[in-house]
Amino acid sequence: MKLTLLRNSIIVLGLSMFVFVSCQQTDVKKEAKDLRTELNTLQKELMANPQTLDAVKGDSMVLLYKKYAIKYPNDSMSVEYLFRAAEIQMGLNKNEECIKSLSYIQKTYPNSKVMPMLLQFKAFIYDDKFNDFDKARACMDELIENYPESELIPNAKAYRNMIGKNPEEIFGKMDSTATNAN
Amino acid sequence: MPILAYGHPNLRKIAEDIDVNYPDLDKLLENMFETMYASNGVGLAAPQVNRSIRLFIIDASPYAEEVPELADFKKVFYNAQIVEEEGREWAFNEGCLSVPKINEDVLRKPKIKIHYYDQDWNYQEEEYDGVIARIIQHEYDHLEGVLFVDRVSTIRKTMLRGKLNDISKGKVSIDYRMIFPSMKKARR
Repeated sequence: MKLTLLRNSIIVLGLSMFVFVSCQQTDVKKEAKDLRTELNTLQKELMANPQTLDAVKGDSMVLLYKKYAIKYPNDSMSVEYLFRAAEIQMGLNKNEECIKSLSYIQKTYPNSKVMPMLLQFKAFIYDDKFNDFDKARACMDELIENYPESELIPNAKAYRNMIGKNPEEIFGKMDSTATNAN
Repeated sequence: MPILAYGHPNLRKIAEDIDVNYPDLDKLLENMFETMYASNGVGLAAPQVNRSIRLFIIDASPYAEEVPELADFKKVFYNAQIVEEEGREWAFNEGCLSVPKINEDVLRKPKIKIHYYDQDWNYQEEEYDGVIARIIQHEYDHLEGVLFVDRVSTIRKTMLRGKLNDISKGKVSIDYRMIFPSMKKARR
């Protein structure tokens, strides 16, 4: 009798747990969907005037992207959102924050498919915004070494060879490349 | 004295130390100051006048309106060595007599320590910051075969390609004498 009662209690508890978890999952899905809707709405507002990036909306967008990624780190959209956040930060000239965002993606999602693009993006920021040619070259080296099959490789190699060179060296290389191509 | 234009290979040489017995040094200094003033420059390095020696001159008085302490800053630097640069890099819009009609924001560290011999060949160890450090860094670069356009991003360099090409071919309107890489003689 006691054993049957215990068994029934376990079944009831199990069913309750299932219902609870299911409800929780439903809540999580709904919450994520709501957040995505909020993101999409703000994205549309931000893109309404592509010529100028509204700083306040841009900041809000970055915060929302980060909020989503932190809340749902395993969601397939999280990396994409973090990458977009970095792009907006660059657009707002918040270059140090942009580098931090890109480094966070590298650390958190080392196997993400965005890595080749991310490394090229990071190299560009170091090169163009900080004129830190050593760091820019290091990013490109990482890209070339770790992602030899990436479609970015041909241009990446050409870009890598230009970083930090003086204009005569760059144009000399470009001219000789053009000559070889002809 | 004619000024070497961008593209001239002598602008890329690393300059050598000199001593007090360098021939006609006083005359060279006089000519360099005259050339600098005639071209409205605030600094001029010997490699720019086709002498690959570690010498540059500065007269920063044109900046006196913005930085009053520069009103009397007129100096000669022999055998200079920048031994330390520090601080958070800052952007300043630079131009150069060898690269006329081009101005670009260049990032450099704000503080420097420099060792050099002054006009009377007294050894000096000094520290500078702000605009004067910036002028010194720019002129010092010439001694190392570096031009300010080397310090801008790859994309900016690519965008400057046409203008730089024009300068190297002498296709630029300037009111001081220059030696262009494609020319044998100086032209006015």
